[in-house]
Amino acid sequence: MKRGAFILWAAAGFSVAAPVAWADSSHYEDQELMNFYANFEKALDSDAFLKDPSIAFPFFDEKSIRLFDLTLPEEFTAATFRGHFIKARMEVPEKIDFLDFNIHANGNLAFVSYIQHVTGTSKSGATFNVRLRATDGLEKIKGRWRIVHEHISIPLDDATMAAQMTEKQPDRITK
Amino acid sequence: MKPVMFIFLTIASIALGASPAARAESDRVARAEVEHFYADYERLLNTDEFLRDPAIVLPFFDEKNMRLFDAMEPEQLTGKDFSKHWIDITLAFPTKVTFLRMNIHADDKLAFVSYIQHFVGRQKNGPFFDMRTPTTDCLIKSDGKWRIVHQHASQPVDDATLAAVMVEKP
Repeated sequence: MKRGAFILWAAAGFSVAAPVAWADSSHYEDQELMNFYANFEKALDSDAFLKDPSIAFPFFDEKSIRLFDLTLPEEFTAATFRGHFIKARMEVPEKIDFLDFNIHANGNLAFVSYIQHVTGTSKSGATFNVRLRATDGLEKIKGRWRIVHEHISIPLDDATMAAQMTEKQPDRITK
Repeated sequence: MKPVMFIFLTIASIALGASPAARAESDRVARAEVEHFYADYERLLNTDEFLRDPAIVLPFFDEKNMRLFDAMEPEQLTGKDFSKHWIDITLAFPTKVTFLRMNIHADDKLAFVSYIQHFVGRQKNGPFFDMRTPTTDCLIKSDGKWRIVHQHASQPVDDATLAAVMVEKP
């Protein structure tokens, strides 16, 4: 093949292949993220996590994390995230299910919204059964997805302006 | 220019377009676009026109694909339920809002943005309120325009009482 013809062939191949690769990459990233969340959920549900919550840290980018959590303070960042995460999980051993996922990904950036259904008994003996809304922002860093922003909340009751975290809450769930 | 040289330059420009430097530049442009989007959005939310007709802000959202996690019940709102809720809540809580501590992550197609919305106002026929609301927005660029497809706004509660704290000093 002449050199000019080879370059033309290569260019044609690239221009045809690029849109296909683009379309596939979105599907591929969705699959990567589903695997990420399957592993994250499994880690949070494990006995190892109940003994040592820090095993979940590799799912986060601790250096740049920003967390909007259920309770005050308004936000947690790199300096306060680790301590808060461990304290919260040690106080309330729990079972967790991830539901109702919505994933958007492009290249090295993704955002995910979903419901965390959490059940358990606190150290003081109170049982709870709560559906938390979760929104995560993720970046692919050195080939691995990491949560760089997490927002967790529970909708407030209109009348009381309080969060309902007891067994009563499932009666008021919006399906 | 010889055809072979033209093809070579085309391939080189495509390859360069995917380089880390080009990606960084493209992400910088995307962040600037999103910053501009929020400046316009915040300005519109503070106009008298918006208080008369809250629907004028709906073009900032992708209503068809929208998923809203709002501070109050229900758990989530989508599509037309979102639009109705948005209008109802604005009419009930006419307010001024300031966007604070914005953090933007963006590439050429997606963005997510976290910030604090500081609301100050008076509930219609009700009490004065001063509220700081942590907010996360997720945006998609389609047909050259950014639109919010997911918004998560919440009111952090007191650890002991589980009641919302309407005023918190940063």
